[in-house]
Amino acid sequence: MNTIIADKLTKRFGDFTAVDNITFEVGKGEIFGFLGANGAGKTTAMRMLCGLLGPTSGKATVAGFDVYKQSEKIKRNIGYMSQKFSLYNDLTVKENIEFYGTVYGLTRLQIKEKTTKLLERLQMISEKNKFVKDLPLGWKQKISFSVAILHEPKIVFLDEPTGGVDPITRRQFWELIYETADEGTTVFVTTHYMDEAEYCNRVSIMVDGRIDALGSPQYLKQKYNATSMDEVFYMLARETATK
Amino acid sequence: MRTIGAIIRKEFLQVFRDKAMIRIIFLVPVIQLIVLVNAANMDMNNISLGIVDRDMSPTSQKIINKLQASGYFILKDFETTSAIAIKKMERDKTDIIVQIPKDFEKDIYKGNNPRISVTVNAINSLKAGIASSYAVNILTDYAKELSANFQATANQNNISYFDITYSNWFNPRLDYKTLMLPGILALLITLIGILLSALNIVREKEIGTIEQLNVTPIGRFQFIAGKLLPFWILGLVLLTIGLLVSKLLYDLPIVGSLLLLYGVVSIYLFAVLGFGFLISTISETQSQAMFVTMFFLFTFILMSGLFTAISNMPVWAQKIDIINPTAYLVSIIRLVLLKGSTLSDIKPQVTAIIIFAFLTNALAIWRYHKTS
Repeated sequence: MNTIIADKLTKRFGDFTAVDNITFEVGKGEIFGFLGANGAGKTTAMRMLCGLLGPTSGKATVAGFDVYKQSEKIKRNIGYMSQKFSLYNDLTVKENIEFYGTVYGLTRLQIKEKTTKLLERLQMISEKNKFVKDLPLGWKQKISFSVAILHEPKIVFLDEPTGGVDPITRRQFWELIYETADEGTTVFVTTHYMDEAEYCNRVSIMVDGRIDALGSPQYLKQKYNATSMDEVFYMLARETATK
Repeated sequence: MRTIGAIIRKEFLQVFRDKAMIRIIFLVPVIQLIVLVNAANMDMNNISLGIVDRDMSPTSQKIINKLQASGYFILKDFETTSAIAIKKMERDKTDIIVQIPKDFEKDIYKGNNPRISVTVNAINSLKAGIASSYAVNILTDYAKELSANFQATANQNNISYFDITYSNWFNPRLDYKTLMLPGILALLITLIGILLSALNIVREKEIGTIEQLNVTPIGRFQFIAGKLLPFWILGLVLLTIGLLVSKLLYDLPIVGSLLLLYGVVSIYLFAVLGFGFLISTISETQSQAMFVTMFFLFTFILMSGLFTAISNMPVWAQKIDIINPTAYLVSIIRLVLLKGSTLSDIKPQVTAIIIFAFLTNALAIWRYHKTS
C-alpha cells in the first residue's frame, strides 16, 4: 500500500504557480528523494503534504488521510524536519526531547526509554544536558531528525536535512535515514545535493513546479544516458532552458 | 492536558533562562513605580512669581508677603513698571505676574474697588491653570479679610458672610501619589501583558519553531492556553510586586478587598494577553509586532484616564474609550484600592473587561491557523 499519493496536486500564489500538477506515489518503507533547484517548488509541495499549506487543486492522501479535510490526522502520523531549525536553542537536548515527546502523547516512561535509546544511537549521552545552541550544526540536525521520528510516525518528511553540514556528518545522517526506512518508516526527503540522490530508492526531479523525471536513480541515468544524477539534473535543466 | 502542561513548562524554562526577560519582568516595574510616581506629580510649589508694585503701600506689601508665604511661589522678579515685568516673562524668567495698581491702598479705603491683575504664562496650560487658581485664591482670601476689617470698623453688620468648607474624600491629603499609583500599576500590567504575549509567538515564527509546532497534533486551544497561562501567572506575580512596592515605599492605602482586585486583574490579564496574541498572529517579525503593540499601548494608556480625566475628553473620544480595557482597569483599581468599592459597584467595568477578554481570545484562536 502506498503511504503518499499525490494526484495533480497544484499550489498557486496569485499568478505564480509554485507547484504545477504533480502526480506521484510513495510506497511504505521507501526512501523517496524529492530533488530540484532552489525555488523549484519542493518545500511548497512538502508543506502541502504535511498539512501546513492548503493545496489550490488536485488530490493527495498521506498515510491514508486526505490533505484537505484530515490534516490534523495526518499530523499524528508524520514526522517533519523543516529547513529552518526546529529545536529550541535555549532548552537542553533532554528538554527538547521531553517537550516533543509529550506533545505527541508519549508517556513519561516511553520518553525516558526513547531518550536513552536515541542518545546512545547518536553517541551523545554526555551532551544530554547541554543547551542545543552550544552544539555543532551537524549534531543539531541529527537530534532534529531523531526527535522527528520519536513518536514512530508512518512517514517522515525531511526538508533539506543536510544543508550546510560536512560530508562525514552527511554520511552519518544518511545512515540514520537507512535505519529508519528499514524499520518500515517511509522517508520523504528533499535535497539539492545530487550525490545524495544516489542513496534514494526512487527520486523525482522538480523543475519550475513540475515533476520532469521520476524513477530509480539507475533508471534515470539509463534514460538520460548519464553517468551520475548530477548529469541527469543538468540535462533536465538545459531542456527547460531551451524550451 | 499534558500537552498544555508541556508547553507551560517549556515557556517557563525559556523565560527564566532569558536574563533580559527576567529584568523586564521584575526590575522594570520596580523602577517605573519609583520614577513614574514621583515624576508624574502635578502638585506645584515652585512657581516663579513676578510682582509689579506701583503702589508701594503697607497693603501691597502685605499681599506680596501672603503670596510668598503660601509656599507655592518663589519671588523671582520685582518691578515698578509692567513693561519690564512682561519682558521678563517673555524670557521665561517668571510664570505669573501679579500687578498692584497705583493708589491701590487709597482706593480701598475710598471704596473704589481697585483691581489687581494676574497674568499667567499659559504655554503649559495645565501649569497656568493651577498657578492662577492658587494666586486668585490667596488674593480673594486677603480681599475678604480686608473688607471684613473694613466693615467692622464701619460698624456695618448687616452683610453676612458665608464660608465654604470642604473635605477631600478617599484621598484626604490630596496626595498626588495616591492618585497615580493605582493607575501606574494598571499601566504596568497592561504593558507587560501585551508585550510579552505579542512578542512570544512572533519569536517562534522568526526562529522557525512554529512550523515544527504546527505539524504536531497540538490543538489551537491547547496552543493558546499553553502560551497564555505562564504569562498570566507572571502578570499576577507582577501585580504582587507592584502592590508590595507601593505599600512599602508610598504607604498606598488599600481600603478595598485584595481578593476582588486579584480577581479583576486575572480577567484583565486574559484580555491583554489575548490581545497580544492577536497581534502576534498578524505580525511576521518581532519589530512589526512591537510597532503594532506600541500603537495600541500608547492609545490605551493616554486615553486611560490616568493623566487626563475621561469626562474632560470630547464625546467621540469618550465613545472610543468604551473599547479601551485600560480605562476600565485604571478606574477599577482606583475604586477598589482607594474607595473600597465592592463587586456590585464596579459591575459595569468588570463586565466590559470580561467581554474584552472573551473577544480577544476568541479572535486570537480564530486567527491562529496551523494550516495556511
